[in-house]
Amino acid sequence: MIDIQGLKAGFGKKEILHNIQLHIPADQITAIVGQSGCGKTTFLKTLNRILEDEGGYIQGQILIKDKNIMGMPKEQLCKMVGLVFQQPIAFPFSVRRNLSYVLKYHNRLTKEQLETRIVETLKKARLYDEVKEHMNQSALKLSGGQKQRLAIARSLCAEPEVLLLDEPCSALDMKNTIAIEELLLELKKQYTIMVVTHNLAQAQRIADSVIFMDQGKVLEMTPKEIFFREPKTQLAKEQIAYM
Amino acid sequence: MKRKLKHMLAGLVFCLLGIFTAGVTLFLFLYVFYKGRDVISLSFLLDEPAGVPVGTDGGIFPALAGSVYLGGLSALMGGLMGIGSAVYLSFYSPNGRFRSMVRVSIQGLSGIPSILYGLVAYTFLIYQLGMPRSLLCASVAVAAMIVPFTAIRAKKILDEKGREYMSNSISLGLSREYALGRLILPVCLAELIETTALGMAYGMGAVAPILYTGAVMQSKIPEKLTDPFMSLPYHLYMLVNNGFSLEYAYGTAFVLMAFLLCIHLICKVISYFMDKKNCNRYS
Amino acid sequence: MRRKFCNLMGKSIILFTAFGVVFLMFLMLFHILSESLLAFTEIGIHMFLPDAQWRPVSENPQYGLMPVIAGTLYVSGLAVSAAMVFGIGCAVFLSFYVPKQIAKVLLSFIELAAGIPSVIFGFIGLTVLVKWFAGHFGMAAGQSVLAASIVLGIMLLPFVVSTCQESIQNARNTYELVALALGFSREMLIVRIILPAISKGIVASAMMAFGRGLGETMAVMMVIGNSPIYPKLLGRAQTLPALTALEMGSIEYGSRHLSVLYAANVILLVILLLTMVCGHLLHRRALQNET
Repeated sequence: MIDIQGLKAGFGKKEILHNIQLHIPADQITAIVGQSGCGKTTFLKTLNRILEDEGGYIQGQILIKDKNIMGMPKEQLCKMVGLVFQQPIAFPFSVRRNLSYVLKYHNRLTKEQLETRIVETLKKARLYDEVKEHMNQSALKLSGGQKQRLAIARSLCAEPEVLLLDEPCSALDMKNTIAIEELLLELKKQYTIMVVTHNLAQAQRIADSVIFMDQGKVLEMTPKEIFFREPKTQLAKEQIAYM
Repeated sequence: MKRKLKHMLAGLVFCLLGIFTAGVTLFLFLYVFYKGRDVISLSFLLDEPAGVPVGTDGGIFPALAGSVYLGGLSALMGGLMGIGSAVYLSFYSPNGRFRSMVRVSIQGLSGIPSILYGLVAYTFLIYQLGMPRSLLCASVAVAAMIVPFTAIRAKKILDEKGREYMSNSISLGLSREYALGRLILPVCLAELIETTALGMAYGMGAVAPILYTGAVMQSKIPEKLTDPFMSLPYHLYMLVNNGFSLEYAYGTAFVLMAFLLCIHLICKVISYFMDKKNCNRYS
Repeated sequence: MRRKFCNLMGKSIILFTAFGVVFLMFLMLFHILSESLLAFTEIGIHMFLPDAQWRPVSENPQYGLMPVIAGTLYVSGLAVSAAMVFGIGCAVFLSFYVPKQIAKVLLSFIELAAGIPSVIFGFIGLTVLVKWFAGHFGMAAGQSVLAASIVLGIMLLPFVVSTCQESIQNARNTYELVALALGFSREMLIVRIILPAISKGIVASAMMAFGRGLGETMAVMMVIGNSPIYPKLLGRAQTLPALTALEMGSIEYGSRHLSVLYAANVILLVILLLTMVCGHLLHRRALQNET
């Protein structure tokens, strides 16, 4: 699904990612784990090249579905690769408009079609039951967990093939974390998902395979069972021992 | 004991300085309003200037109207340019050479004294391009002056409120223009208008850029862009400088100051309520 | 299709305005430099001889700018020093000696004064200060460097007060509790800790205020007396922007006189650039120190 060859990225003269080689299979959850500042988030941001908009550079080859993304128009790429940021941002509209804002851009829909798509997507993101009463209320009033699911729903509106999530549960309590994790497990049937997390337990719960990063390099890329049973690197061993 | 005395003295000095400064500021407002209050009447506001020399009798309506025209036109041009370039700086090409050129240009323009806008407009627009001394010419000069004023403030607003919205929108596969038009500009609209209004007030109060580019001592309300016009601050300057009528100068100062203060106060009130609304929203 | 068109339109408008700003800057610079070329090539160093006078319309014209440059620096320097003393005092007063609510109201009043146009400052200066000087100092008309400096100083106050107040607030958040816990009195806290901590920021804001003062035209022009001679505290003088505003309307386009006025403004811009750059560097250093 995603093939990465010799990826380097950074800001100005500072290189953050050094020569990354990876292959990520389709319809799986791949967890990216590692300490803070090891380049996890930067790595995610290279996959839809939003790093460039923040002033960074990307070198190397990234193939998604055998297409080189470096030559792809940005909009098309960002539509194909959805990214949900760490801090869930609800746009200052109603819940409905948060989704129609995206849907209207990508599709030509009649009013009824739009409404069905909104309901469909909200259901997919497991948010519909909670918000169906107040679809016209400001989305800023939602709780943190609801905002996170709204952000996921919004990404689904663009009909991506890959879904990237940056620490989706870092600001959430247990209940909301479980809700998001269950949601991700269901979504992986349709989408290739990559989740950045610093929580190894979470990786163990939801991931199919694990990428272990440190200081801008990929140290391991193995199926989950192998990673947690017999990690290759000392650092990973120490961290798993702490779990 | 000695130390205590020293401390009391220091405190006293600070208090005196502070009270004096605040007093001077209050004095500025009170003085103009106190001195001008007798001249103000409906006929002063709504009549044309009369008397010999002109301005010593009658009213100042054409000056009031001329200032409003000038402010409106230059706010339109300057506001658009300022906000547009602020949008460019905030959301487009994060590190290009052109971007730093735009940034440096805005910084540079903000440092240029107002008289230079007048001087350059005077020689460039009137002599080299052959425009008449007119409302248009003066508006261009004033607009150029308020471009950096609005650009710097607008960039601050957009950076604070729009950054996250923009990066979220981009990663949904939306174009920047769509995000700007549907989300970011509407969200920041009130504040951007407020900035433009402050820029307008700043431009309306300036004399230096309109000194020889279009303002005159007596004219009708301008009908075309190429007409010369009267302006409140210019009128005030001429009345004072030529010693025509101190009485009427006080009146003109009163009107000018009241007008600009109104703009400022309205902006303050709006931003106060916006803050309140935002507090409610996010809490 | 329609969407693509809208995107293109929006993008071109934004690019157009960005280009416009760059174009405007280049136009201003190019125009000022090209107009002043004549003066620099034909008169050159004679403009800057210390004993050359400003007699542009006499039979035997002299274009000595030094008295005017000195006047500009003198007035602005005096105004900034006065504004700094009162401004810092006022900022301290507002942050330490007044209840928060009242301080807020006073501060917004002072900031409101920044919106008063410069003609009104000049007007008040003329009717209050100059009149008073004429009555009490036995001067012929009362228009003087001192009057101009006071008026300019008052104009700079809002800027100085609000920047100083901000940096005092920052320093206070860092140091106040620690200092009070150590048993410092309020005055000791202010004089020994807060003021030294913000000194770099104060110098930076003084530089910026100086830059603003250099360019001020109308208010200074109305009270300074407009005689292009070397400035004395109680005598008349002239500043570069006031000179420009006064004379630009009455000269022929393309004359040497106009070109010298442009050259004068080139000098003004160079001085401005130097102060701005210094202020900017200091400001950046101050910010680094505070964090």
